[in-house]
Amino acid sequence: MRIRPDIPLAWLQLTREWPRFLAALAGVTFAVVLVFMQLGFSDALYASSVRMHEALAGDLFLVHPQASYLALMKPFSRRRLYQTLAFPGVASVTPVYTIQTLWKNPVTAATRNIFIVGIDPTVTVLNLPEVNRQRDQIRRPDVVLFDEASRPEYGPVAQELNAGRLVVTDVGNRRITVTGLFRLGTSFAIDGIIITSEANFLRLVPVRPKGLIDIGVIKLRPGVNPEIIQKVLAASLPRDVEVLTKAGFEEREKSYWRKSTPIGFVFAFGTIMGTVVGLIIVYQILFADISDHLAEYATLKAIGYTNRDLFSVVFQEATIVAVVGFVPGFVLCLWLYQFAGNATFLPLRMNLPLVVAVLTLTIAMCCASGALALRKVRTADPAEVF
Amino acid sequence: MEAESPRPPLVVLERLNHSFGEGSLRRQILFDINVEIQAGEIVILTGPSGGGKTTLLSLIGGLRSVQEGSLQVLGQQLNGATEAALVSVRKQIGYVFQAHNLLDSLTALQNVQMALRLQPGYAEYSRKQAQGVCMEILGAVGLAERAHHLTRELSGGQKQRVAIARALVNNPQIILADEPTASLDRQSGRDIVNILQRLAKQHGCTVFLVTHDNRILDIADRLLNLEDGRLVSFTDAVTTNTRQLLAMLAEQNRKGQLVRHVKDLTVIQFAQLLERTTGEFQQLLHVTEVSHSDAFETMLDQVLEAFTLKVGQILHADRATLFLVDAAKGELWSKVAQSDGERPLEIRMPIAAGIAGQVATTGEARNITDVYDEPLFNRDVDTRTGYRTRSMLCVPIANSKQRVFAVAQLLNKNGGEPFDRDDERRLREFAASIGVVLESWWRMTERTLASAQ
Repeated sequence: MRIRPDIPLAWLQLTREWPRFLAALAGVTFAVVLVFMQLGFSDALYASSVRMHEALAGDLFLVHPQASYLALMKPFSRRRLYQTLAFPGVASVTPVYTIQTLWKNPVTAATRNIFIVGIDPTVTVLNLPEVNRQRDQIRRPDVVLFDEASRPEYGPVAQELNAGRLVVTDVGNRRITVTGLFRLGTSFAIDGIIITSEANFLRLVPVRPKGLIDIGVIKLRPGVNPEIIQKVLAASLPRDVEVLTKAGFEEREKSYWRKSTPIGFVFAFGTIMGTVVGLIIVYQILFADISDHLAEYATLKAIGYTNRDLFSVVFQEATIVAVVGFVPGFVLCLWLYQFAGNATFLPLRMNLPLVVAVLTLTIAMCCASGALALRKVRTADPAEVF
Repeated sequence: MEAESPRPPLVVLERLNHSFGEGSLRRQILFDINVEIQAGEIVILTGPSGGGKTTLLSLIGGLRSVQEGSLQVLGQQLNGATEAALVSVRKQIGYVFQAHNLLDSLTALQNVQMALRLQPGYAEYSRKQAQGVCMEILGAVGLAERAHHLTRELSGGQKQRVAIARALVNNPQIILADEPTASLDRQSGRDIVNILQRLAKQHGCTVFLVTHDNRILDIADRLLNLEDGRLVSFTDAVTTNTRQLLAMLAEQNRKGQLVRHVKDLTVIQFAQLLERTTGEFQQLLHVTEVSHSDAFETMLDQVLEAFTLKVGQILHADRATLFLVDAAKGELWSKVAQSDGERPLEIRMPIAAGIAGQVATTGEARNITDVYDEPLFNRDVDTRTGYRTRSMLCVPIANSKQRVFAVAQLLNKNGGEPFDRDDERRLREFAASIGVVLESWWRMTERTLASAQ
């Protein structure tokens, strides 16, 4: 086996000038952190916006076609939901009521919008063990369960309950009692959640005419393919209602946030800017490195090396900077995800596809810098060495 | 002497011209350069700065595109050559630059290896083999112990030695060197060129070296001089230089402090100053006394030898001699080349005796079949040189005033036959054709020799 006795010129050139190398690494780390945070937040926001969707115990879902997002649904007739029982494969259905209404902080008396979910307490509507354990409580009048992952602006509800006390406050126009906690988490438009029974819900929001629901949850018989039933229902039901699989339901929500608000643009812009800044920093450093070594490159050309040989050195430098700069950025983000996640109550999660994506982007960014710097390499003139 | 057939020259320049700049700023740097460099030669190119030496070197090295003229290097025509062809030529040449030879980030060994990597067979080397080759050449320049030191840890002389090692590692046929001793002190510079000369001869490389440094010119087989873009003879260059230096000396004297300080000196001090000044100038006169210099002597030898060779060749004679008439002393004198590179033997004989003398006095040519039959023949020369003269043809060479100032003598026509009328005629014609030139040369020589008396 032949071992190529090569000289790591790129590595040696970079590391001879420590301050400059570190500056390049800092630039790459900066870009990596920025991109990780942008993509991380973006993923987390979308993930958080479908926490409820994820928790709903159903195979298919009905919503009003004009429903915007979870906190802004449009009620539709529950007849549509019960109509689906006629179809083969449908095992059971249950309605879900949702609305945002004012909650009064029991301590400060400040009011803030809170998301209320009304469910049938006799049925498993949500796959949340704490909710299901405490389902009986919400059958009592004006009793609700509170999401302890809600924002602190709602008051020290979790603390009080954990200390063994109940919390009484005004929601909508009624006095309610919080008797239990569950954990779900905030989203873009939802800073806090309370879950109660259908009956309690309708009392809290009397503005709503009877017979209108927000989400229809359909459970299918075991072994039935949800996709097929979805198509059947979609074809059969009138246009005043939309049928979705769970994946479709989640995608519908995410799609809203992507398209109807500047969120997608903002994060894409942030990612691009992060990349551009990193690219410029690395380009400057590579340019300076090439300039400093221009006489040496001219010497190399004089003794018989070609432009292409030198290009390869530049790209090796770019790749080294990319990979070595990526590592501290990645490590820093592991901690930052924790920190930012706690601060925003968003599920910032590091995962392999994200790491691969950012690493690839980093290498591409540095190679682009390298490509821009190639022009300088061409100016190394072997005739000037003599 | 060499029995092999002559190899084609490695570098041939024909009517090479080169200019810089565009339009109104265009300046011509090289004018009509014609040079051939043979294999194994060490050629040094000198000349004042700005004369175009570096430009010429970079053209030969394939580092610059040829604008006008023919430049063949190792068989490749560089005028109109593609970039790929130029790169291929560069790989066959070893370069020693004035500065920026080495890469800062690498060790001495790695720098040499960077050149080795260009070899087509490099991929076949194992790591150890590659390093071994580089260590060997570094050893040859005396830097084996410093092989693993970084460039920045080496002195100027050491860096140049690494540069030489790098230039030689691929066994190139040509080495181009630009001011290799420029930033070095005398000893380091000397070491460098000694190494270069030794290794070049060892490897059979041709060396083309550009320098200002007069101290290292001795390693050259041939000296070229480039002044304002034109090649001039070395003698011309020396003349111009000497003239300039003497003029400077005159200027310095004129500006000198001698007169100004005289008032402040005591009588004794004045005497000492005068003595010192006179002593300096005596030295100067001594050095510039051309007639005593080797340069004059060797020029004289060369001209005489060239003449005899040429005339001998034309007339198929075994030997030829040019005798010069020293009228004042009544003698004929010449120099006869000896075998085995000894200095030519000076011969003087009275004009009265000898055949050549007779020819000089009478102005009549003599054609003798066997000199030993001729009573006038002086056997001394034969005795001294161990030669057996048989046939002889002697022809007088007269100046414009019909006075004989030289005698051309041919001995032993090839084939053993005596010289004939034809030979006589041809010799006369040859003498006539070079007569004027020969006369002015002889007059200059006479005057120089006379001023030495």
